Amino acid sequence: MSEDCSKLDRLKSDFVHLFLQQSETADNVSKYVYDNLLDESILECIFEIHHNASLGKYSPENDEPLLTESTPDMTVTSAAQHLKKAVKCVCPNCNRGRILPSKFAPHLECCMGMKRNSSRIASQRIANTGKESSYIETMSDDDEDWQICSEKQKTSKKLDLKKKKTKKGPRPKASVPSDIAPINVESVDNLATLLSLDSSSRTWDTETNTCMYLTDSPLSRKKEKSKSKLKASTP
Amino acid sequence: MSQSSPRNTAYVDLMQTGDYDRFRELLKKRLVECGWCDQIQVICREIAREKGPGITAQQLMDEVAVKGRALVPNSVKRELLQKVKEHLLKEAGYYDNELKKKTETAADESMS
Repeated sequence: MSEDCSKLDRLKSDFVHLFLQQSETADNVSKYVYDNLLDESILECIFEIHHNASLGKYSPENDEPLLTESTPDMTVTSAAQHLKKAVKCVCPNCNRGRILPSKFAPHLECCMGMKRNSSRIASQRIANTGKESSYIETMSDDDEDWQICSEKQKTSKKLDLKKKKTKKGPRPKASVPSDIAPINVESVDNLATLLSLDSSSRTWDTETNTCMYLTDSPLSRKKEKSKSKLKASTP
Repeated sequence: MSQSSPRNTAYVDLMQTGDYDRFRELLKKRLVECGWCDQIQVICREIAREKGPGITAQQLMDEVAVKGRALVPNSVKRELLQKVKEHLLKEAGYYDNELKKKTETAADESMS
């Protein structure tokens, strides 16, 4: 039986081959195949439309005009405006209507309390600053080690400051005005006495371009002292 | 047309090898490219609106099939026919001279 079957199959295939080797028959078969293919693709479209029609999408009451079927007097921009006007959201939590779709997500986030509430914490802190007078007091209650460390740091900082001051002290620029200043003030105070002095008692010092008083007043003595100090510091 | 006709056997062979599906995809692609699918959908929608939701698929098919066949561009039709024919001839050994001779001799033997 199997041999007969195989022979029959071979004969059949040979016959088909012979049949197809004539180009006319090949034309016929290709036309047949093409017709079937076209029928199938038409059926695909029809099934889709029939499915929608059976759901009632194309009924005259529920007639939603698509963009492809829009009326000729309706331009694209007007259609877009129509769409813009139509879209508005309603918040399900607070029932607030007329929220734009772009603002809807942040609004819902705030409304449901999911948003990061740093602003609220900050406002609370501002409100509490009046009650809690100083920030350091609250911190000292918490941690002793930290406090010790901070004290050490503070003392070290103070020491540094002192060192800096001592370093700054012997500078000539800083010392000179501090020494001279009181004398100048005194000189301003005793301007009347200076003016009352005779011109003969004054001499012009060319080296330092200052007035020298020959009279043995305490003021002149102080000036001389300052000059000697200046001379000592300047070289 | 009987089930065992050579046309049907060729058709079944095409289906079994998977070439038929390839041709169907090609045709679908070409039809979408040229806008045939949209045209058919518009026609179907109009008919469905006229007849209401009680329309059957067979009614739609009867009305649309003729229009659909006419609307297919000639270039697409020619391309598909050419490709299917070429494929069939290639499978049958039309371009293979040795196989052609062999089959001819086999046919002669069987005839004698």
